[in-house]
Amino acid sequence: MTFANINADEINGTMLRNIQTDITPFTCMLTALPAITIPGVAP
Amino acid sequence: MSFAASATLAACGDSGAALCNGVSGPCKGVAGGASEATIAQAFATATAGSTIILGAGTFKLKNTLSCPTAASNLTIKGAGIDATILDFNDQAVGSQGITCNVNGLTIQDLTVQDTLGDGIKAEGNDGVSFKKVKVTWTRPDDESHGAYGLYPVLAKKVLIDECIVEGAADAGIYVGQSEQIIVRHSTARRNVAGIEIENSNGADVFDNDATDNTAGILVFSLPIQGTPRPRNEKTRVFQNRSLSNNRLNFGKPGSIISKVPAGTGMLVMASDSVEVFDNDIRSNNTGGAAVVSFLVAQIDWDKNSPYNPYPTNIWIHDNRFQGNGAMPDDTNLGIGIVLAQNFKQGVPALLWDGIEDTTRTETRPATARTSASRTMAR
Repeated sequence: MTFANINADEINGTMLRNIQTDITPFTCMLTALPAITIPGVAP
Repeated sequence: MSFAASATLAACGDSGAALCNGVSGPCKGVAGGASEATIAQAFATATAGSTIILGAGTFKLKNTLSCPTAASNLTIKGAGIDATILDFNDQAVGSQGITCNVNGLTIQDLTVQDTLGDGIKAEGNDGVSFKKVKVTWTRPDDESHGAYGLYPVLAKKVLIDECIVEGAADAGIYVGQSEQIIVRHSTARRNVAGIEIENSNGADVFDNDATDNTAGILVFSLPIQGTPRPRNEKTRVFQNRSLSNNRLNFGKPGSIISKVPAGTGMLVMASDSVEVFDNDIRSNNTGGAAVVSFLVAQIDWDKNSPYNPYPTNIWIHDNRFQGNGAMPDDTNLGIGIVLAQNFKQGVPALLWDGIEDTTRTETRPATARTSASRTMAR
């Protein structure tokens, strides 16, 4: 798929999906990300 | 009054100088209501490690306040939000209210209002903290408002804590092309986007209120020409409240932000490794949370750049959704009208645009895992 193929008409009815019923992600890391810390800044 | 005369006045025992009592290191005190020349002089002559104390009162300003780049570890401190007010309503020159591109910058306890452009910009800083700062545009919504309220960009070690931003024509709290970022305990309201993390690496956004904006919280990668950070990655958004973000989009026509439909609770676009959890997302009329590619913006980009328009490694789990998607914004060409046409019975709480990178070749998991089932659509 190229950018040129994307327009509202094509998206309409074909591309949008309900993530709860139709999810096929390429990767599912499902790993918690580490917290961000800044020196001198209290959590 | 000349700069020299006003500076002498401030240093010779008026209430401005008294403001520095108890402050260690170089300090300049500026009494509330002092002339623009006086406060500009305090900024212009700041040195490394110094403090500028601004007294309670309103400062009428027509020009941007800027700091010498050598003034590292500079602190600019007022008497409190709505107590010390830097009023740029008559600003004639400059793009920002304050711009301080110095390492170790702290700005706290003051209000900046009605700037011609962005509220406070900090570019390239290694260490920048905004604490208890309010940026507001007091006039009715208009694209002529400044794009960003708090605007650290190309910065490291960014802290935005207990701040308030109202009325920005793009993003109220915006962190772009930066790294090691914390945005917490802050409020964004009446902006187009409440909070936006864009093309950055490593951000925690937590315990914030994003209410009555066009969109609550955005995590974006955009195709910024020449950026050292083409990809937004490693962003956590948690324990925030994204409520009733249904304000009519008043962003500048043609801009990317102008394409965001009113009623968007949370939007993750073209980013990598984003975790969204334990948030309250309620009463956003277009939808609660969505994961989309840049392609939905229907804007072309330089295909020779390293920009990747697809989202990857997104985990949205254990949020609380209620009352979202009841009336999608179909006035805005793009995703809003598509949602309105596709989900006439209401938009689900979580959406993915389904636009895949067909050039990727790795095998999909045998069983696609998602914890979306734990977040009920309502």
